[in-house]
Amino acid sequence: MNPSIHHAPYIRHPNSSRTIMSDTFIALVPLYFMSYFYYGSRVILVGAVSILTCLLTDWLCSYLLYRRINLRDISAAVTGSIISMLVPPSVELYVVVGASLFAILVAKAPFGGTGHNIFNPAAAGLAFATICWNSQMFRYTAPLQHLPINLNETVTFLQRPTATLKLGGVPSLNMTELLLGKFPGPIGSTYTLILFACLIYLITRRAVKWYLPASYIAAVSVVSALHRSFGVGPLESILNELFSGSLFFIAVYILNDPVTTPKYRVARVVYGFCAGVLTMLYRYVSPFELSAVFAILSMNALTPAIDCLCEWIFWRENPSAANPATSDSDAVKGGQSQ
Amino acid sequence: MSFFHWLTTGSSNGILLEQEKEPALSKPFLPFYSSATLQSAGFSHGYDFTKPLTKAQLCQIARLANIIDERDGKPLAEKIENCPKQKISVVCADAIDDEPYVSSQINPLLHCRTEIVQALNWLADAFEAQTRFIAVYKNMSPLDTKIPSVIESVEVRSMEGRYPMEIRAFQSLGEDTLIVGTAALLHLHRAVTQGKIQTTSFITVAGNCISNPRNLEVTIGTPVSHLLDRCGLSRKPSYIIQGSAMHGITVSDPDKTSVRADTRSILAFHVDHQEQLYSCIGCGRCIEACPAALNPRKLYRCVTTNHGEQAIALGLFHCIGCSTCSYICPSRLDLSHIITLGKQKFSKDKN
Repeated sequence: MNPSIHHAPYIRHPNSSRTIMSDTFIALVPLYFMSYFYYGSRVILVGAVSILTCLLTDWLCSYLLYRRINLRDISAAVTGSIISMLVPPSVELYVVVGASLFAILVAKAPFGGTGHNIFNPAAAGLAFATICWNSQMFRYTAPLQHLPINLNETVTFLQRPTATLKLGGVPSLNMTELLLGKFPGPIGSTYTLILFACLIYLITRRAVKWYLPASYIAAVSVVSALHRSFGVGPLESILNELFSGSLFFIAVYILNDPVTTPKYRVARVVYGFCAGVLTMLYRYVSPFELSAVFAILSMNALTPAIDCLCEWIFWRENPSAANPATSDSDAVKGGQSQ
Repeated sequence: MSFFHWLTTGSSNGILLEQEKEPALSKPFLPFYSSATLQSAGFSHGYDFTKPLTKAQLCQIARLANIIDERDGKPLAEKIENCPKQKISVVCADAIDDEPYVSSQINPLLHCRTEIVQALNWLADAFEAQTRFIAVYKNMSPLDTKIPSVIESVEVRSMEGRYPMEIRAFQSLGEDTLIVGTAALLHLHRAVTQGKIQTTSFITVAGNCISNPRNLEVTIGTPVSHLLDRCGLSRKPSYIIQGSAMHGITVSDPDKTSVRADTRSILAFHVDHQEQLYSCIGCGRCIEACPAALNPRKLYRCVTTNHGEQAIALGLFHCIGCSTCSYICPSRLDLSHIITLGKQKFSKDKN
């Protein structure tokens, strides 16, 4: 397309794809600060490795596919950042590199790069790492204990509260611990208060539509309130399921990826609700703790189907809603004959 | 019900546009005549305009004065003639400038109130219409200029809402409405009282390169470059637009492009060059912004991949061409341009 030819409209909304991506990236930065406070400088190294791997692989793929390398496209950096947030702080670096490579080389580039991928690259990379390096992905360390860059024998590994939940137990966490993330867990996904602030930031910047995380969390709450351990109140069960793992982080960052969600409002609500129910199902029956990632990958495959279904139900039945008055088409043309 | 409706249809009430009318709107319009206007001979119609004029007389005057309605570019005489007298019950003066920068309809209304209202009354009396009103656009953001609610006992209806208002406001009015632009009414008044032929049109010159944005009354045929010189360029514009910011066409050579009777604005913009390097990221904003409840993203894909029948099934011909989707698109895709091209292409195929 000749760039010197401009078409109407000549004014554009100031928000661009880059602003959406950079908003998401900005919302991820506070989590690095918090994790540095909890786990020391190793988490910064993990984050830098995964972001750089994703960016370099993305540029390499663009080069190999004879596309122009777009240095302003930072969606790969967002992918890398999300991957680093969901691995444990004591993870070996090759696991992070492997997850990042899989995310870009398998889940993103073959489908056509940014905007064309069917599956969320970060979720795909994490699923790959979970399956390949299961023991690495689920050994956590206690917070407020600064890790050395090279892991040695002094590091003690723990299980995180989701493992207790999965075995049918109840994690003994009080409200402050839950909200501040002071329990063993992934690098950046346990700080509920900060995640809430980031979610509100993303919603006000319109990078996230509120109804998608709302329907997801509603589904998770309903299922966890119905299916709870003996002697646990519904509210406690909901809080434990929502905030003791990486579920809330995934609801804020991975679920709202614009590329892989349906496009209609009602389709998004259905998508979020199904993903929530599926997450809880996987949590009860699957062998892995990181169930939300697999649930979202499963729902990503159904995204176009949900869109088509909603189009078929609501637009076929109600043609008047889809087609407003068009009888006065002369007036319509007259308004724009300039 | 309303929440369910909001959830299930993609329809929205449009987008909020920064209007940026202000420096041009509050100042009265300036004459910018060439010799063609100053030397034009008048005509005498020989009717007594102190008495009520009939439809045929008004039509004759409009024909003699060569009045073009700036709304749709049609001759006013033809419009009056084509309206059967029994059918018209509403006469509306259109002063809806819902697009940014443009104020070339509301500005003459504010500064030549009595003339425009008198011409509107003549038309309404000739058609024996019960309802007559002036439609103005009232944006969410408050204007410094107060728009009166009544001018000479004629109601001024504020159309409140978001862009695109003009198209939707007149869709809701029925077939029995005669809509005439305010500038055409002013020309009609001058033709009746002074016997003047229409040689001018009202034009807003604005944009972020114009140092002194103004409304001008310009002789038709004046080159665009003269207008830009008159208002002053503060820097070199990236492009000059004839028409509005949402619908206009670019002027490639301002010296050889002249002002027409239905030109409403000349805009000059300077933008830092924005490269289109993202493909659609599927954010769904175009669907939420579309006032016709279409799926611009899917239409765009159907048109570019030449799936005509699917595009028509998705409502290609219900597109009202408001350019809202292109405005909102974060990937800066030319959605509305491609969809308009598709409309032309597939209607040819059908024929």
